[in-house]
Amino acid sequence: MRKFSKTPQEAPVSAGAAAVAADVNVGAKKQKRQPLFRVIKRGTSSICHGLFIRLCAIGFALLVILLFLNGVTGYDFNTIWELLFKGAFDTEFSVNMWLNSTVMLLIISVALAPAFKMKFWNIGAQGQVLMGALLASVVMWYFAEDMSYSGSVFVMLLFGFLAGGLWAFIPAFCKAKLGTNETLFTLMMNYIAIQLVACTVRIWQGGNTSIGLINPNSEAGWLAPLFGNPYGAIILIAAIVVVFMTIYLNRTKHGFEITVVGDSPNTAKYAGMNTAKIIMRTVFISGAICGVVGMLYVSGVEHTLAETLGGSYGFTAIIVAWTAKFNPVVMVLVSMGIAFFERGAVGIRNTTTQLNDYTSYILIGILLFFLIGCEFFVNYKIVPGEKVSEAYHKFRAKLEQKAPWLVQGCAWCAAALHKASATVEKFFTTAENKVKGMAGKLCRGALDKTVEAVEQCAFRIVLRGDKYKTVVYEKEEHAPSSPTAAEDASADAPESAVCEGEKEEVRND
Amino acid sequence: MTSFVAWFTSSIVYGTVIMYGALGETLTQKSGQLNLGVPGMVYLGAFAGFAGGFMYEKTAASTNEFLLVLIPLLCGFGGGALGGLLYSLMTVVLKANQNVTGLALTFLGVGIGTFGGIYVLADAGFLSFATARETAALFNMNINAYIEAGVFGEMFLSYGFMVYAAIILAIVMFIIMRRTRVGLNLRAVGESPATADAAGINVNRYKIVASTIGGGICGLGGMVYVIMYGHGGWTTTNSIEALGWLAVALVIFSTWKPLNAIWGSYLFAFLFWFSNYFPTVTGIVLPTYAPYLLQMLPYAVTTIMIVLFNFRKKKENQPPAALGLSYFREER
Repeated sequence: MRKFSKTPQEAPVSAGAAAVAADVNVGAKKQKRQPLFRVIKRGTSSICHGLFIRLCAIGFALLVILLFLNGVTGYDFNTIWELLFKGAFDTEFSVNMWLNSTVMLLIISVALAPAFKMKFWNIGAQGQVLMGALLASVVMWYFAEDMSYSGSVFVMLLFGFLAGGLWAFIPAFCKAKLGTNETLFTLMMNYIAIQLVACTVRIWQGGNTSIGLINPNSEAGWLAPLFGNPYGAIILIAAIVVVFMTIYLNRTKHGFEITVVGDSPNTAKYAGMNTAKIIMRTVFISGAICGVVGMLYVSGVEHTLAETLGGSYGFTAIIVAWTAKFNPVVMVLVSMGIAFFERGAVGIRNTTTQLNDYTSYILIGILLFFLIGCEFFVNYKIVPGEKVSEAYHKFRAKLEQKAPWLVQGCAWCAAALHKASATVEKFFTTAENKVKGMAGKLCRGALDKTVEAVEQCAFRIVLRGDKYKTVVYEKEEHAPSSPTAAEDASADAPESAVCEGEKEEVRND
Repeated sequence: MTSFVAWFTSSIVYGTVIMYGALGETLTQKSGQLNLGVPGMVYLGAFAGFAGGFMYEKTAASTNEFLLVLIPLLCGFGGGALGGLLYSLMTVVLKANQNVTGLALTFLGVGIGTFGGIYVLADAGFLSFATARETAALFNMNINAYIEAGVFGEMFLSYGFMVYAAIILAIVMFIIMRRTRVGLNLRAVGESPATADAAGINVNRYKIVASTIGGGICGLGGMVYVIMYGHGGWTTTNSIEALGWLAVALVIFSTWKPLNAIWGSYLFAFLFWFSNYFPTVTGIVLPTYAPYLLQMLPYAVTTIMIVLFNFRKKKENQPPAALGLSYFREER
């Protein structure tokens, strides 16, 4: 670092942000312009460092939030904490509400992860949720009373899945085939979906002021409580989605393709990947899971349709997915935190007239800004420029003369900190590698076995159906000059090719 | 006829709000910054403008007419500009992702705006006269009240000065972008920051200044909504947020051209009021769901235009080439 600051002219990197600092010196001689600070990208960001920075960011965010609430309401910090916790976890009802918020936010964030990992900016989660909700409620409104419970839930899930997926597929198709800007496209699709839902609601309510609950008496199409919790089924689905997405993104060929297309489309092209197909497939899945969330809202939470369904979770989830760096486990934590502030703000608002319904927006906004901003300090490091380091060395030399013990103490502390962080980091990396290895082995083993079983099953079915062709194929191999066999073989050319591959496998067995 | 005139005038006033938002966002996007925080900045400007005017009226012993106009103007601009500055500092200096930061700004801006607005009202005891009345009167002052120019006067002269200022602003922005060195540099930064950087343009400074001024113009839109359109009363409805997204749609609809934003904003507002005035103008009764279908039109048309522009590949209709992409010199 020191060497670098002494010879800034030879420095291979110069900072973009430093230029801002440099402008301070514009008045001075132009050639001698030196940035006060330089910004350098970290090669590999360590886990310990990242964790430390993020915890610091959350700490600062909490401090700002507490100061804000303190300034507005005049409560002291302890009371604020108490009220926040009371608002989120006081009664069984509030715990359930918190769980519900967490889980909904979580599923949408997890759904967005593959699209974002592919650098496809799906801002349209709101619209996809609403389209899923719309089609699911159409099933609920017209057909659910004639169906069995499991049948109606299954059909609603299917319709929600397809509706959300297709709504996301439109911008994906245009992006893949025409190269349109997906950010603006998906954003517009949100508002089209909102108005479509509003329109449907007005049609259904007829002359009334609202449509009320759908099927209030028969409760057809309503998700029944599971594990004694009204949102049990939703939590189960969330767990399934999280596990599925973790495996899908990290342990499958599709997941690998998504990563490659996201990191470098050119690499994907040269590797022979069908980029258009991958984009459309991934975004369909992303939107489809959002559609399932819409179905869950209609069937499991609200039991009605409204254009305000899901609140602003479609947008919040985007930030959650981004700040969690597409790691589902981190997403769970972040969505828990955001749901906590949302519910907690309700609790604290009820105690004073100084706060109102929109308090939670400010709290969450502050938290999000700190989480987004701290990424810079995770990925980059700030190096002092020539002037600053010169001043620092002068100051240090002076200090060494006057109070050598202070300098030594500081140096010792720094060394100790460094050592401690190194050990913690080592522990983390080894633990992570071990867990990753074990989980990977387990997952891969299980996946391989399932794939094998499915392949064998399919193979047997094909073999049975194609007995005749297999025989022909064998004939051809033994007597290639036979005219009839050759004719048959040419007529069934594709099938015989398939048989050939399968036959080889049989021999291997 | 009178109801058509009413339709026309309310479209112009409502369209002005959208126009300010769209002009600010055009300036921001021309520098390559895709700021999705427009609703947040509009809200910030609305709150700051309202709070400034309201608090001045409440606290000052005797109000000065000049200050009554200047304070909301400066507060509205400043509120939005602070939002834009926060956004540009996050994306340019801290290198955060543009989309994510923009959405977070929407979140924070809507929160601060709505919370602060109600907070100010609560401070005044939720009284019905808690409006910035004198300020609103000044902002709505027009020539038509004095000269009585009939229907023509009502349609074109009956607005406060901010309506005409918006049109002038659009023309000025057009001239700056098309005819000056600064505008050329700004467009270069938005199209190809690496080229601009190589040509000696300070990319970061252009981005930060454009986002900040753009945010300020968005904030003016919010101020106009509350002081002029809402006659100085704070409303807690979600209409401001919807206006912000309409402004984003209008930027695309106008193909990033300030002059197109003038008629585009009036058209959007005309469609917005369609279901309110159409039945009284023509006597045709619309079904209850029609308003929602009509409000979908601006978004649907914009979506279709996005696709069409890609088909036609006309260069002047394309978004800035580096829109939404961050520029870090060392990562070229």
